[in-house]
Amino acid sequence: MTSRRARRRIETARRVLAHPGALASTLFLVLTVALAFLAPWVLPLDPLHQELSASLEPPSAQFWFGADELGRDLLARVIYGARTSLVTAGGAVAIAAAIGIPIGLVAGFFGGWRDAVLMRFVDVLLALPNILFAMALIAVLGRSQLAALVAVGITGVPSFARITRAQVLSLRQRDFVLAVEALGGSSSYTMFTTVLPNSLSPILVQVVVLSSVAILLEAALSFLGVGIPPPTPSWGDLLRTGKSFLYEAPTYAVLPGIALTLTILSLDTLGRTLAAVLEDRREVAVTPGREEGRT
Amino acid sequence: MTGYVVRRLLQLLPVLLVASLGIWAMIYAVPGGPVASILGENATPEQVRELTARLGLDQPVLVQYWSWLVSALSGDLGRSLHTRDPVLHLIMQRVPATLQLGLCATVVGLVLGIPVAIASAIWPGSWLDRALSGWSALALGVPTFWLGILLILLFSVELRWLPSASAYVPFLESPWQAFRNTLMPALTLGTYVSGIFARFLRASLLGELKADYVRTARAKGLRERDVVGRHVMRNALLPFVTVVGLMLATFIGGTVVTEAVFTYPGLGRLLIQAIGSRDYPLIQGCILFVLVIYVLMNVLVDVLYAYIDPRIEYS
Amino acid sequence: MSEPVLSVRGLDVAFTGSGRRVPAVRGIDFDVHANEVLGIVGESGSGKSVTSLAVAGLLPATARVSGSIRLAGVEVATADRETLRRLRGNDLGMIFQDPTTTLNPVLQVGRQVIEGQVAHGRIAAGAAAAARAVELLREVDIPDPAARAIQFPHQFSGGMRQRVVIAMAMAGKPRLIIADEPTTALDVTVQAQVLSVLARRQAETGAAVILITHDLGVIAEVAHRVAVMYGGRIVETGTVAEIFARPRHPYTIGLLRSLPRIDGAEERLVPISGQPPAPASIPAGCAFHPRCPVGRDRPECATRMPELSLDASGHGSACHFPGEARPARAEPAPRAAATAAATGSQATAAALLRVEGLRVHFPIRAGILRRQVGTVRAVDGVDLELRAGETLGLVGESGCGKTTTARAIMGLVRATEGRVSFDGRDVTNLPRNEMRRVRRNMQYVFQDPYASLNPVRSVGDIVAEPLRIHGVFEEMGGERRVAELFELVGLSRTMMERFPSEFSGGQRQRIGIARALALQPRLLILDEPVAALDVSIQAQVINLLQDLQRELGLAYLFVAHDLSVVRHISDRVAVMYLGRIVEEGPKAELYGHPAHPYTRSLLSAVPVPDPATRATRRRIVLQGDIPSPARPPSGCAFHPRCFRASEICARERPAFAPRPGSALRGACHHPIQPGDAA
Repeated sequence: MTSRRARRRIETARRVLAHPGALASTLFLVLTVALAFLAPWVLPLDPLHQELSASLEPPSAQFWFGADELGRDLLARVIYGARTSLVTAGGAVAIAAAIGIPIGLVAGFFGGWRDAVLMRFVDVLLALPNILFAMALIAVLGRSQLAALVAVGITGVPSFARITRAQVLSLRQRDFVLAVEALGGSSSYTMFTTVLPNSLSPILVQVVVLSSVAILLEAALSFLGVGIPPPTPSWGDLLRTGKSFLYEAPTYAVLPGIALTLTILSLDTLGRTLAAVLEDRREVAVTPGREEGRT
Repeated sequence: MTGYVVRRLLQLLPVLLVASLGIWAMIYAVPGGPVASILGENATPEQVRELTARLGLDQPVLVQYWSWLVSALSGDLGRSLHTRDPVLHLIMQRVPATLQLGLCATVVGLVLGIPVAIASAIWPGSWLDRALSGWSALALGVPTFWLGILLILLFSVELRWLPSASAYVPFLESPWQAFRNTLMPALTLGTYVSGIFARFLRASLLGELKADYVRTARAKGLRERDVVGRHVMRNALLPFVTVVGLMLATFIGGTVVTEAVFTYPGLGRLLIQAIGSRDYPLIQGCILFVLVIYVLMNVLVDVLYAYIDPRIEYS
Repeated sequence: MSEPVLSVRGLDVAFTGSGRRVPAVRGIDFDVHANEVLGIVGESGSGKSVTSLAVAGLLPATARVSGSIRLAGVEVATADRETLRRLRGNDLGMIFQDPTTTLNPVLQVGRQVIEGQVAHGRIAAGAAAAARAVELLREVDIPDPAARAIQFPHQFSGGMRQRVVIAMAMAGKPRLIIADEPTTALDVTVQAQVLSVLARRQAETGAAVILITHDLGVIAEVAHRVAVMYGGRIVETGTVAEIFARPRHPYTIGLLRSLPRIDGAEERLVPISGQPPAPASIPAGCAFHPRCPVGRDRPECATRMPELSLDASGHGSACHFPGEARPARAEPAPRAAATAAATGSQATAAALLRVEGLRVHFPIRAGILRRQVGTVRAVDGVDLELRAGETLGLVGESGCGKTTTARAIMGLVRATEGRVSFDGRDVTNLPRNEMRRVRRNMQYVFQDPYASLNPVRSVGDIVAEPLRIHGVFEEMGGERRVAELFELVGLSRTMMERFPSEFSGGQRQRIGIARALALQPRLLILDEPVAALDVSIQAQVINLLQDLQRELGLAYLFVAHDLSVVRHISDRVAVMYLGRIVEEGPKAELYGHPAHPYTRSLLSAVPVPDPATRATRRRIVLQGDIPSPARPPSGCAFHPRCFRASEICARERPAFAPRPGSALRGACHHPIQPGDAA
């Protein structure tokens, strides 16, 4: 039985990668991740080494991306910045999912007072625009990588909670869930063996979508000066400094932005393609066209 | 109808209370507490005691929260630590600027986004649709602060047409200067907004075009432009109105990044400056203000939608 | 013969999406004349709906149309868009199946009815149009049309909406009306109303009508001529009398034989084996040959497509061997033995299931504090009894509470009041873990085969699930038992590894039945088990259920709205209306001499597939709509629509009691006696 399920997953992956946009995005992301985490061993670049004489030099043979105000290799800083972004995004998504999914499951499945209380809690998280909420949290927690990760993660909880809850609510009334109850299944059995496996598609899509949001949010926070503190390289911080040198070294602000944009676009494209493919597959599994339809 | 409104307002009461509690409690998470943040680290014990009593910090926690909340609701948000000005006054000075930026960005978003969505929906799958969808993806994916930087690079550094730092000039005062200063920030934020609008409206339109009642309209012999204009657009615009409304609500505090890029003197900049200088009453005041306005606007959008959609019975 | 309003020759429609060419209609010819109703009958994949869309020029861009469609002098197949647009609404009116989605939910009804005419310039926008809209609504018997015209679709009931759609289609007095499954989504009594309005308006305007449906009963009641479609072709055509009395094509014969009849004797249904082909995989030669008793093994049928050849009376069938298919002698129901045994022991056997005074009420909450402002009385006092090996049919229209009753008995819905006992034991509202033990003996089969199986599990897992939940998987034989169950329902054990999406509707329903039988229950509650299936497949599943009942000694509580199916399979029948049982008893008596006015109306509203009775059958067409269970009428729930109601009926709720001199029990103040004129 499991081999059939594995085959279906491979089939889905194949269908996603058949889209050229998704393929390009996946390749780019794989490349980025590889660069970010294998960099120390693969590339002889040091993001922290200062060569003050080369301050704000434009791109050259020695510095492919140019040098920053302290003479540090910008390419190296961009690559290490990728690591920061990816780690922050990964951690944030993990937190958001770990908190949000159980909330959605319980609220959707049990309803009643549990639903009311949990959804009010989610409403509190939604009471401010994302960036302000994160800023407020960081104002309390202080600036650090962990604080940024936690702040971004918490702003991601509502989306996971709502999507899971919506999915569970729609499934709860479906006959095949009622059937399990009719057969004698208990609540937790039904929830974990029947409802949850059928909810995975939108959750998976949300993981990809939220990663893109998390990267953007972290970069925005760093750009504003409330994100991950120096000397850790971060794309947002690079853009912030780059802006202040816009007249002297225009490429300083442009090149890290390209890396950030491409990463966000790749995740967006991947997420949308994944959503489209999963939606197709689900529709095929539900009612095929029946000309006479008595409900 | 009034019952629905009242019920929604009551629903948001616990949210406001909990959120405001969190905001108020923020000041206690700071090391040293509020006293240290005001007096600094070298305060003498007498100064500490005196300030503690003056600020009422020796009272039970809930009483403090309550008095803070009560004075906040009556308009007294305290005074800034650094300028000694009333917080509410400082906020209200900045609100018109943020409002102007938000409205302009929305206009840009609508002007760019609606035609894109309609064109995509009328010729789905065509090269035009694919190009426009690509454009929407770009508009959503490009970080607003980077886009702002690029615009400054082009228009301020290279071409020297527009100022790189935007001042707030009310439109009514001097339209041309206002235009020069607001154009880039509005374009920056508006591009992102147009992506959201275009994507949502396109999906909404495509969904409605597949509906049975469209087939009926065609079967009656209506001209295609009436089918789309009278039937489809009306159904699709209904939820779209909520999206626009919610976007406007976000702008009350969500313009912070754009304001930072263009050093535009709005509410967002005020907040960033407050955080930078650890001006806690100002930080709390700003966040509380945004919170109340944002939540109220959300309710307003809900109620508006319930009003315009004939299917909703608000019993 | 006068000039036909519509003349179709050699119509061929294929869809070319995603690179492949999928034929939907493969060369058909037919005519329709004024004042005539042509009934097009077919199942899924027959191409009947595509034909109607082709005539209207409403097919999507991926459709390739060839052939000739002449409507009111215009060649539709080659006309330009503007010509077609002018044709629609003026010469052609269309009525679609689902009235809920056919109307725009955010526009006023009156505007929608008249806007086609305004667009064609036949009437000026403004006051004149509004007045005409009100007129049109009045013509289809919408009460208080002036007030209704400014309302929105969701404020109308299903039957009223469909009448609005009829008004809309006929606004321009078109010469041709195409009605595609116009009453399939409606209740039987509402169907009767809508069909009578349609017939009346046709007579008033002299229009030609094409009525597309899968329901042979409706065809027999309403159509003058019939075309039977299968696999994209017309396989038989003729007058309605000829088709029903002397069908020639094996498919038509098969269809007629697989129909349960409300007026019929106890013959065992003869299903057509297999299922209708999907348009993408139509068999070569004659599309029907794999399922045809005549042509199954004949090479000619597998290679050459038969032509439709008409005789003098216009009756023809597309078959290579038209003379050979003969309606075989039907076997008498093998159930006769079982029934005799059951009736014999009826008096002495204790009831397996007994329901007393069951009520299920749902609160309606409104206002700021969500206070209860009303109650939906879904089930409002139900008494039932079911013995081992017996089938009790529970019928009613939408909103009558039959599904809620079934679910309350099963414990899936909480009973507000009353008592349910199984095998002598009180099982009302038992806590879950205690109910689990009862569920070993009482199982449930759901209506929608597409929604009742978990899509991410293999079907073998699904059937094994009850065994695993109760921890008896190994004990009852493990995989071997699952394989046995598959074979019991007529499926091969090699299919166990597949996922539900790979099966057809009929097969999925069999899987659902296998799952319900896994724990060897004694009672099966079946909620509309065949309603979502094609007619030819329904018969297969009905026969399976009857065989299983005989073999395993099961008792069935069979909930359905289709009175013919219920009559066929049940021993006793109970009729529900607005949460109460209005009449109950042995089926022969209930169908033969119903005493309750509602039962009478219901039975008379069911279309019978026998055109000969058309003129003589007494039709009782009820006025008004089924009331909402949240606001049931006082006294007897049926009194506002009852043709025998009197003052006491509005005051006092009649008791559910046995009737003297009859095996029936009912709740009525004025039951119809055998000698009554009504």
